[in-house]
Formats: sequence, structure tokens, C-alpha cells
Amino acid sequence: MGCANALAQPLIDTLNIDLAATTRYYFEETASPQINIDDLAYGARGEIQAAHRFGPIKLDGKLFAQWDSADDNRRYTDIRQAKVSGRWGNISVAGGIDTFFWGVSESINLVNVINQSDIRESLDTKVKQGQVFASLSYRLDAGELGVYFIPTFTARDFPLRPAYGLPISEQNTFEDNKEDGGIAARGLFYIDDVEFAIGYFSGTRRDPLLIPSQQTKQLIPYYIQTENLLFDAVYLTDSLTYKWEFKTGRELERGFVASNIGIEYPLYVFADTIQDLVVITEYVFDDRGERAESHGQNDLFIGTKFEFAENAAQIRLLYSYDFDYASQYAELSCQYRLSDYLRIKAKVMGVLSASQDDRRLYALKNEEFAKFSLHYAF
Amino acid sequence: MKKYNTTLAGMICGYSLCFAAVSQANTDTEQKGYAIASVVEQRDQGFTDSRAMLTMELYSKSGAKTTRKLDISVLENEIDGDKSLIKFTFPADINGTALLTHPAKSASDEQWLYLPEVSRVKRIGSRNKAGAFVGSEFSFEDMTNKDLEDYSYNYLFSQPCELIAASAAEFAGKQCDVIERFPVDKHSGYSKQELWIDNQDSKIIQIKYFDRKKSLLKVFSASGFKLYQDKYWRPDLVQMKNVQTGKATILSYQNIIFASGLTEQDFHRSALGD
Repeated sequence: MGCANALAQPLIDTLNIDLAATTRYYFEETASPQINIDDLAYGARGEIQAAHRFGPIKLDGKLFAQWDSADDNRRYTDIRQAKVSGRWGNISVAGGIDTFFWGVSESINLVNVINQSDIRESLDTKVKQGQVFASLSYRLDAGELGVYFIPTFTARDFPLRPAYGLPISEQNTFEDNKEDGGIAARGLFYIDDVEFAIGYFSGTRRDPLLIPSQQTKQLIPYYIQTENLLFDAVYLTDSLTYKWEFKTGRELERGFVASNIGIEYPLYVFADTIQDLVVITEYVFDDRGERAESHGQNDLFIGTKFEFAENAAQIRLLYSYDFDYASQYAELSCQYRLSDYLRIKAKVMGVLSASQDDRRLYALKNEEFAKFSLHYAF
Repeated sequence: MKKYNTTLAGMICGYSLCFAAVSQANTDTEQKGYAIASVVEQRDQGFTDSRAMLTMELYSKSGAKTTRKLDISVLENEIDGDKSLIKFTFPADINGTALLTHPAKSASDEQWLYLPEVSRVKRIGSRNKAGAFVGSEFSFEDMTNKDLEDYSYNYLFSQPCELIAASAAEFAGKQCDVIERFPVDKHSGYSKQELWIDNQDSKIIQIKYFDRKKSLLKVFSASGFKLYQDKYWRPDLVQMKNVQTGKATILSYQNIIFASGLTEQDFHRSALGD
């Protein structure tokens, strides 16, 4: 764990630091005339993570910071984790700040509802900001039951770019002026080759609707209340893994359903040179249409990920096709390990085609970018 | 359907802990081969649990070295097989990445991978037996709990252990039983394995792995054996050399602890993020 750990060993069980130099390039000037930032930006990001255990009590902390030369909104810090947890037999109690992951899918996680997404760090909503919480869990022989109290709500922070056609207002609005983190519960069970979870969430939806304001020429984030019943399951067979995330509930006094169903297929045909080659196909349906929490409302996602050079290089490719609007989106992510301490990362995203009716993707049409980072972790 | 957990773990908990009582061996050499494998199997029963820190060095053909560090915990389970938890501690960017395996005798192993970067526990399949474990010369299959019934056996001969160059000094004057075993699983990456076993203490000091084309693929060797709790012999150093590619992986074990009080809770799916 490097020198940081050796120095901190008496006080902290683990201490890891990841420092990175970053750069980002937008291929085109933004179509949003009110946003004027350089197409090429450089920056820095850092992450420090520490943990220590006192008997049954464990402390975890993780701080994230980023600075960007061009985009003021990308200069920020976030406490990803500042948590106290304890376990006594089957019962676990935790509180503080943490990031949670619920779900099984690879493209869009419909049931991962607790945390606000950090889209400044990753547009795909997979990176999450820290969330204040308190939880009580009970471990079953093959599963776990948990209840979560989420006392605070964190609004989404948007970067200046990628832009969404208009600048996004810093003035957030809320349905019925409610701004609550919410409550949640989840029961996870597994038996043989099946694993499934049933969950519940009620509170302010993390993904806002962006309402155009004629008066201010801005998009006003509007956070609505949501009540969700959540289900996710994975079933493994000898050659395929089946995955399903399902969400139903009520928003704006209307019921909705959303589903992500897919398969994951491992391939071993190039096993001598390519490791962990997996192909995924997922279909996302969301009857909320434009109110959906992602651009997937009737979309097919096809992706692959694999490693080579003795697992030093990792590649991920994701492509989506929208059956309603024929929009197409693609992203390519790469990581290469230069040494035990150094690695490089790169990502390119592009909207291959998008009709005006597909507002989410159309807004990103001139916002395609490539980013690159050199990481030093110790 | 078992996947990677315990050649690495096996070095600290034993090579095989799912003792099966019924031999299907027929000929004299098959029965003798099975009997020797049974003794190895029984040698390690009763260890309760074990923990070890491990350094894994991956060498390319040109000699370039990559290092991984991991902690391995094993909980003995004579009915279904031992549960194991492998946690990576180095390089720093994968610190906390963990693999939990719950073996199942009559069904597929249950396996979960914990990815700390996104706080995700991912259930994974266990078909990729021949695939490399974290880019090393150990395959997932090599790291699996060995059940006696996973193989058929054949006794070959007995030879002085010192014929194995890496063990010449440590095993001078000792005699090794040499047996071969043939995987039952059609997904195995091997056609057979040839084991050299010290017939005094039942230490496995060399395994030759033959690929599906029956060519020698890899040679496993173990050295620096120490006795723990007056019963369990464990090597300090394990090497897997790929004779076809010239690459090698060396494992060195530190701080092996037995009966440290691990419980089922430490091997629960929800403990992966702890």
C-alpha cells in the first residue's frame, strides 16, 4: 500500500491517495451561445481514502477534489465517504456519509437511487456524490435486510460543458417545496445461481427535470417527489448471465414503469491474448419518456469490455440505439497500467445521431469530448 | 463450476478440504494414486480458519516484474468446502478489491467481486476455469478448492524428492510419491497434472500441468515449508512457471495465522465492503 500506508500505519489501517493530471477536449464549439469556455482544458484531481477499525467499529473516509482550468463548475470537493459503522452479530448500524450501489446492470442502473450523481466527474451517472445517511441492517444466512434514513438532499451540480442547449440555472426548484433525502429499504437474497433484491425509496428524485425558462434563457432544475418500488435480479447459467432491473412507482401523480433487462456473455475465444472478454446487451424501457432519468427510454445498449497485456490494459465500449428517435450514442473508455503506481485513462463520448425530438441526446450533439488523465496512486 | 479461490488459499488451508469417502479407483495404481491423494486431503482437516498476507510477483518473459499484494482468509467447511476471501491491498488503485467464494458441492460456487471504486458487489459466474487470475500464471482453476472426486488418479512411481532442483536441499534424502490426476470437469484447462508428494509429510512440492493438447504447460513448485500448530505444513514460497511462454508468477506468504477466530460473518456477502 505504499509509503503513505507505512507512515500512517500506527494511526490508520489503510490510507490510499490517487493524484491525477487531467485534460479534456471538446471537438466542437458549444451550440449554447451563453456558454463560453475553452474547448481544451487541463486540470487536476485527487482522491484520498482512509480507514481504521476499533474492534467492531470501523471508520471510513474518502475525499474527492477536482480543479479544471476552463470550467468553474469543475472546481469542487466532495466528501464521498465519512462513515462510522459497527456490527454486532447479524446487526449492523452505520451513519455518516457514504456512496451506495444498488443494481446489477452495466449500462443504466435504474434502481441505484440513493446518491446524487456526480456528472462533473462522469456523465454516465455512474460516479456518485456522498450522501448523508443512517442505516440499520440485519444479515440473513443468504442475504441482508436494510433500512435507510436519508436526512438531507443534495442537488445535482452541472458542469458548464457538456451543455444542454441553455445554461443551467443555479436556482433549483422543488415540487411542493419539498427537498428531502428520503427513506429507503432493501432486502437482498441469494440462493444457488439466483440473486435478487426488492427495494423501496421515497423522497426527492435525484435526477431533475430541466425546465426551459423563456424569461432567463436558462434551464431550471426542477426536483420532483418520487416513490419507487425497486427490483433487481441476476441469474447465472453455465454460459450466460441474465440481469434485470425494474422500477415502478409514482411521480407527478402518475404511475410509471422502467426496466433494464439484459444478458452478459463471456467469451473465451481469444483467451491467450484477451482476458475477461464480456459482451453485454441490455434493453432499457421507461414509460416516463422525457421525464426518464436517463436517455434510455426505449433503447438498446450493446457493449463489451476486455483486458489484455496481462490485464494491464482495459477497454470498455458502449453503444446505444433509440428505437423511438433512431438516436445513437457511443462511448469508449480505456485504462493502461504503466507501472504499479502509474496508469493512464482515456474516454471518448459521441452522439452519433440524434433527432430534435430526442431532447436529452440532441442537446449533447455538439458536446462530444475526449478526456485523458495520468494517475499516480500510492 | 468452482472457480478461483484456493491454490493460493490452499497453501494456507490445505490443498483440498472436501473429503469424499468413496473411491471409484479400479486398478492397483489407480487405488494407490487415490490413497495418496486422500492422505494429502486428510492431512489438513481441522484447521478451523486461516489468514495470510501474500505478495504476488508476475514476471514477463523479459523479466519485467509487476507486484500485487493480497490478504487471504479461509474458513473451514467440511460439508460444502471452505469459504475464502481474497482482498487486494496493492497496487493502491485496486486496494479493497475483493473476491468472496462460497463453494457448493452439489451446485455452482457462489462468487462475488467487490469493486470499491463504485462500492459495487457483483455476482460473477464461474465458468472461466482456464482464464488467468489477475494476469498471473495461476488460472482460476488452480485456485479452486480441490475435491478428491474432481479427479481420477494414477500412481506412477517413487523417486528421491531432490530430483526436483528447487527442492534438492530442502528435501535431501526424502522420497516422493509421483501421481497423476485427470480432471473430471470438461471445462478444465488441463488434460492431466503430475504431482510430486513428499511421502513423509504429504507436502506437495511440485505439480506439472499439461494442457488440453497434452503438452507440458506449467510447473508449480513449493519450497520453504514451515510447520504451523505442530500439524500444518505450509510453504513460504510458491512458483508457477509457464514453460510455453517463459512467464512466471511467484507467491511469497507472510504472517500465516491459524484459528484466528474468523466466523461465518467474516465471509458474508455484506462483509465484502468492510
